[in-house]
Amino acid sequence: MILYPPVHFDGNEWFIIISTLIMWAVVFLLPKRFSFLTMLMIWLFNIYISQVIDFIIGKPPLLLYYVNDIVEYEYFDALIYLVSYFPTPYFFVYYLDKWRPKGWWFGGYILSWSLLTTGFEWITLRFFHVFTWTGWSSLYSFFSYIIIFILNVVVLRFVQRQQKTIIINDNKP
Amino acid sequence: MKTVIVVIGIIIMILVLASIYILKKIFHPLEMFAYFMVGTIFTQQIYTVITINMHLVKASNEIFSILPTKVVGMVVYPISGMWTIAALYSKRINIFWKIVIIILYFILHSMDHIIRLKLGYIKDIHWSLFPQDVLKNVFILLGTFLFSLFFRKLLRERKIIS
Repeated sequence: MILYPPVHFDGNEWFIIISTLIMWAVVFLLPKRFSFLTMLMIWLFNIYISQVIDFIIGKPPLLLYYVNDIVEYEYFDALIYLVSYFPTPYFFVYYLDKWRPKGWWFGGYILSWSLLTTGFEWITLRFFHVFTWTGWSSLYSFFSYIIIFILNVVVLRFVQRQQKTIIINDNKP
Repeated sequence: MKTVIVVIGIIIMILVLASIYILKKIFHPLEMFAYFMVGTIFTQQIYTVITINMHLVKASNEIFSILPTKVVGMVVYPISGMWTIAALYSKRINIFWKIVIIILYFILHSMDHIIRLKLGYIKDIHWSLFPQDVLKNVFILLGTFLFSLFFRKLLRERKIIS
């Protein structure tokens, strides 16, 4: 089978659908801040980074965790990578660009988002079984999110620098 | 013998990575970044589907196999795809050399498949070099190329590239 359907259409699938709809509604409700190109690059980068990490450590031979019901690649896995993951880094870069934290505030901003995302992941794990850990822990996730959010800052700055002459809103505080 | 092939593989990977400096003269940095990511995403998606979902190729459970299977897919495949796309867009390269470069792209990828088979990192179950593996590479190249058409149009509209 190219992509597997869910084994049981239950809590994890409903959670993915509802949380994705709510988060994307917020994405559309927020005032436009970035150009389409910036959003496309942030979206691509987060698909890229999530797949690179998950397909190395979340699939055999390492298999430290898996997403949804089975180890195989499901329709809902694809939905998570392509659609559900985007809003979180988007909100992160959105408010980073809006508030422009400096120094300790910048560190605090990264740590707060990492903590918030780890907490959100823990809820999805504990109550909805979106993830199943077979050698992973929240502590690893926390440190991974710190790196991922820092990389998102690097990508945002890179994309903004490359299109500085044609930016719509990207440099407005 | 196995060690020699792995060392040669690592050298090829370093050379491929170093070739990014030449690609920087051909592509806009945004293009390079986007094509690299899209090439990796396509490669990873297809590799996962054929090994884990469809069981067409059996991948080794050795931790050591991560280097030649997944890392090559994340470095050599997307960068060789970028070179092929660069050749397709180049006005200085005539149609004959464009075809030669595309053939070289498929030979490189087929060699990677053969080497991994010989080293025992993968085992073909319901899979063969032709047509399945070649078709897989056509799909990856075509997917990245179609994305590049869309992306270049986007950059042109924003006057980032001419």
